[in-house]
Amino acid sequence: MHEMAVAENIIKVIEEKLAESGQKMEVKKINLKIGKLTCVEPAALRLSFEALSKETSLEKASLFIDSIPVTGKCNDCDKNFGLKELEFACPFCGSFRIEIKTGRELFIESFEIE
Amino acid sequence: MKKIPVLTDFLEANEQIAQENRRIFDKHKILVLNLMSSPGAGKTLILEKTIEKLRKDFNFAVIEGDVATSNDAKRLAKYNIPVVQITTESFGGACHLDANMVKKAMEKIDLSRVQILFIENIGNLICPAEFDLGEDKKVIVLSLTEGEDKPSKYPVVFRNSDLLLLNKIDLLSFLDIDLGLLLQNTKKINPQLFSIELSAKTEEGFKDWLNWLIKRYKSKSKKKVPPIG
Repeated sequence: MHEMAVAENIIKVIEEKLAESGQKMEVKKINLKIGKLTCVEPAALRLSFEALSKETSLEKASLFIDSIPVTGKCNDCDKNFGLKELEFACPFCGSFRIEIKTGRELFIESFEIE
Repeated sequence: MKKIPVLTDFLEANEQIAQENRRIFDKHKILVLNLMSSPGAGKTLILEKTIEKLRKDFNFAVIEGDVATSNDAKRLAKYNIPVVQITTESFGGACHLDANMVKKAMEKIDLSRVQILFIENIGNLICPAEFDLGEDKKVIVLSLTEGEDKPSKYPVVFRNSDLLLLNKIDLLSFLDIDLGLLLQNTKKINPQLFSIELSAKTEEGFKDWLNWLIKRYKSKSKKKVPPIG
């Protein structure tokens, strides 16, 4: 399952960060930024994380997912806009020459330990 | 509670391995293509015909990805080229190939003797698009039987691809499909996506695909190779 790979990576990155900082505390909260274009389904990610984090120092951690909307900029008329339908055209001038500015993030912003 | 910043893109691990793969491919001047599609769109037959027609001109290799079975690898093995089958059930049944799987497969191939490497990804239009494998180009194969709205339904894979192969064009007269609308929908998602209509079965349009491939190889290797007439 796709979200399994992502959950696995979250656990790996945070365990490495914990080892680096020499902390042996429990992870309570993990702050994620996930763009809507990434096709990562938050509910599936939570389930995968719960399954994979058992018996690790992340076992009691809750995932806080900041879902980032898709925004773009038109290279023809220079306007910025939000994209709700995933049709990559400028809603102002109709041009297809657009750049996606936000919506592709797959970030671990921070985690909190106690 | 103590907050520890991370700011890590958690596909970073995959990206790092993909870049290492890319460096190795570039060192050997191998053209690497990542083929993606829904299950049954015709990737394997396209590869069979491509290798059949060009094997006198190029040394091919294939990394074949499936959740289970080695059926596709067996089909390609008859061309006496290196074929490495990755079955992801040993990686937890993953629905896509990632850079680490490709790295392990590369260790089984003598890359010094390869000119063009095809990575046939798992039949899935969602996940493969997000995982860089170290390839030069991403090719999406769409069967005409899949309908006009596939690009709109699966924008990420269409947006990230470099070439669209519209396969099973021989079935056009039997289908209620608006080809113009399909191409329009593709352009809306990715105006830069180049498309070729072909049939792996009847070989209609196949020369266009072969010439695209030859041109990409020439560009990668800086070698002179004549096009197919």
